[in-house]
Amino acid sequence: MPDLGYVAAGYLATAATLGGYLLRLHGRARRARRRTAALTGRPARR
Amino acid sequence: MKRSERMMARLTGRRGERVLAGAALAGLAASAGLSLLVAPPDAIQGEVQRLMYVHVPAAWLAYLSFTSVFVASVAYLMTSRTRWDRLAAASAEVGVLFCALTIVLGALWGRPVWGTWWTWDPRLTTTAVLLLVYLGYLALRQMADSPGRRARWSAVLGVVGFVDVPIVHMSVVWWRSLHQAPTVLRPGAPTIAGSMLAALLVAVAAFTLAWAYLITVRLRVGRLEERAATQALSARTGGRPSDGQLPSVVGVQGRAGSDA
Repeated sequence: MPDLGYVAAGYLATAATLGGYLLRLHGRARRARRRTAALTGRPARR
Repeated sequence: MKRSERMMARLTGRRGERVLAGAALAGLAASAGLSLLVAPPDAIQGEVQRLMYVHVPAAWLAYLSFTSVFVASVAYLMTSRTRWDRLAAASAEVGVLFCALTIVLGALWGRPVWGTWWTWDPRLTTTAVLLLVYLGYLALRQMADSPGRRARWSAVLGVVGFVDVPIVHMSVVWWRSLHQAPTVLRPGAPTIAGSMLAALLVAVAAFTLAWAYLITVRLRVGRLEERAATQALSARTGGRPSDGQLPSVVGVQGRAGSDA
């Protein structure tokens, strides 16, 4: 692999890790809010 | 409410989150421009040295996260306040993410420079141990059967596990290592060109903003998940606490560990 290939792979891995984790956190927040809403019958606060 | 608590609430509020997100995005864009377009290639390693501008910030944030776990764990053991346990959990999760990223980026840098993806070098080995310790920390948090016990056990591991952080940092000084010695955090002046140092410092600042943003979002998710768990348990027990098994409600009790 040429040197720039390693650099591109590194920067892409960084962006994918940060973006992927953020998406996962948003999914967890949405699920938790849904669970609370289902149990209490009213929308959960943030 | 104390002034520090008010400041923290403002920072972790929805608007604070948005401001942090914007600042982090702008910082990361500036850092990418500086490190990929402005900073010169290394005289010996060439273009592949540009991985330093993501590898070093990731390693710094792993250190910062595990230091945060340590401080929050000590604070929890002293005060039993749930907020410290929540901060330790958030920091450990984000720290594991950055520690794993550090290892992956190091492997990508090591292959063209050292000729291998991985070697049992002191720095690499102690970093792998660090990752395993905090993966164990996260596993422990899933295993404990009551919130108070979980917080106490993980606080103890958060204090003990931190021992490996200075060992990782000093490993390149204490033992003969393939990994290069510190060039910035060392006694005396940094042994790195000014333009590279500037790009590196911008990258560290930008990644630190991104870290702060991830921590605030993770803290919010922690609060939401605790609330959902409390409601679920409350529904099951008809609204009565069941022998200290009920997770403390954030901002109402403010303390965990009723199962002592």
